[in-house]
Order: sequence, then C-alpha cells, then structure tokens
Amino acid sequence: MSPVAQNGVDKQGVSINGVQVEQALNAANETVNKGVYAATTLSAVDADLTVGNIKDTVTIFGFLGTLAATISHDNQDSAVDTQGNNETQKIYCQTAGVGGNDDGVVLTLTLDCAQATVIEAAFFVSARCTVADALKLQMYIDGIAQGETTYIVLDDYHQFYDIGNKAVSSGNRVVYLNTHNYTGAGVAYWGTGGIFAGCPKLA
Amino acid sequence: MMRLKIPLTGTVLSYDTELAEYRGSSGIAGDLNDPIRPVPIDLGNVSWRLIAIDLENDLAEIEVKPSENINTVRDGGNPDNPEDRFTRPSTEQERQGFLNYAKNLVESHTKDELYAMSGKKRLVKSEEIMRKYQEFHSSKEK
Repeated sequence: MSPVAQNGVDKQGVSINGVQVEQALNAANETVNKGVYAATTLSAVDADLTVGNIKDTVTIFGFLGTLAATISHDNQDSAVDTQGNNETQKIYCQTAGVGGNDDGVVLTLTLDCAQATVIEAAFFVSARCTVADALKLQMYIDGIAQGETTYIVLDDYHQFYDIGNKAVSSGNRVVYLNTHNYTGAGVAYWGTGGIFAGCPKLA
Repeated sequence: MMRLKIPLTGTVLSYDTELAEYRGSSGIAGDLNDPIRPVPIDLGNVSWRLIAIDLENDLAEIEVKPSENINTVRDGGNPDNPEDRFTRPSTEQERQGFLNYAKNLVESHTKDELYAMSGKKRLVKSEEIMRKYQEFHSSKEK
C-alpha cells in the first residue's frame, strides 16, 4: 500500500483518485523534484536570470551574457592615498600637476612611520622647461639626496623616473622632489607626476 | 655607468647606529631645510644615484649614467627657440663623451675648488654625531 500524505495524495503528487498535483520550481535552490510541472520560463521563476547578470560570451539557458569584465583599482583619482593593513607596511602615492620656477620643491610626501623602517620611493614626471640644459629633478628621502635626473628639455615633455631607498627611524619622514637650476637664468618649468613610497617592515 | 666621489654639503641632523646596521644604510638623516647632498656642480648630460656617504671625508659616492637622449638645435636654428630644438637618441660615442665630461670635471679639481665652484659650504655635523659614526665604524673594522 502506498503511503498516504495530506489531502489524500501520495508522495509523488498523484492523488489516490488519479488527479495529478503539480510540482513547482524554486528560485532559492537548483532542485528539480520528480513530478509534473506547469509550463513556465526559467526567468519567471528567477528574475535574476537576465543577460545583464551573466558574464559576456557566456550563455546560460539561452541567455547570452553582456556583463563586461572590470578591473578593480587600489587607488583611483586620489591625490594622496595609503594602502596596507598595518603601520609597518604602507604604500603612499601622491600625484599632482606641478609647476614653478628655478629651484623649488614640486612634490612632497610625508610618511608616518610607526617604527624604524626602510622607505622605498620612486617618482615619475613628465616635464619641460623654458631654458635648455638648465633644470634637473632631484629626489630626497629623509633629508638626503638620493639621485638626480638628466636635463629637463626645452622642446617637448620628457619622462623621468628614479628610485631610491633609505633606512629611517620612526616618526614623520619626508620624501620630496625638487628642481635645481644650473644656469642661474630664470627658468619656468611645467610637469605632472607623482611619488610612490612604501615602508616595508625592517627585517 | 661609472662612479665618482663628490664633496658633500648640507647639515647632518642625526646618526642612528641601529639603522646603520642594516646593509646599504648610512644611518644618517639630513636637515630638511639644508639637506645632505653632493655640491651642486653641473655634471652635464648625465643622471646619478647615491651609493654611499662617507662622513669621515665628507664625500658622496654616486653612480653616474649618461643620458639616453640629447636635446639639440636644428641646422641654422636659434638655440633659444623651442621650435628649433629637437630631442633624439644619443649615440654610444656621445654617451661616453657625457661620462668623460663628468669624470674630468670632478677629477681635475680639488675638493676645495669644487666647494668654491658650487658656492656651498662644507658639510655641517656635530662632534656627537662624528663620535657615534667613528665608534660604529671602528667596531666594524675589528
């Protein structure tokens, strides 16, 4: 004898007197029980089944996805930003349009080092100036010159980058970029660039 | 590339022997208002990077690299007119010339003459900083 459930129907959805009971799909899970179902569409069962929710080039139940891949950025459109999970490991970035005349600091970054560490710093600049063979860019970490570029050119924007590192004690430590004029003539300078600096934990 | 030793100017703010223990570290910090730097003489069409600081002799050892580009004037052009200037890759011969210029400039002058040419004072450092520096380096030589 078949087991009898509520309302006189057995567990397969067929009533004792022969009347069929429909099963239903559930958007909450993927289970499809054995039985009889009313005609429907899957997107009616789960409204999230749309082309916009499926990655492009992938087809699911006849829906060709249109969702474009995206790249997440760690740092977008920030003049100054910090990254890192603790104070012993941080990455800083400062970008700015810079300009000026003759000697002068064009970009400054202050790092709050909670403990003695090594500052690794790099800068990038695209620049030009008004006098040939006059200006060079210099990077300083914690009050010591780490390097100097070749001449900033007269005719077009040229790119510079440099990298330096220095062990520093705890506290506020400054990394900066400045121009130096070797000719003495008044020189106007235009550039845009940034400083990246990090404080990895001192091994 | 090549290495040169250039006299230092600026003010030494501190010397940290703990930091000096780390390979490649000088342990030195400079005054932000008068930073430690090689005397500002124009070495020409080269870039340089700091390798080491010698506080005993007030010298910076730097690694000099010739510029990969040269900014020059078109035939018959005006050097002061940006439109008459252009930048092109430097040749191997020109790059060697850039290095030779920097080397000759430094090595053909005494330390005193380089200070005079730059118009900068000698490196300022306290007796306390020098004592710590000399004690640390003496202990490393043992």
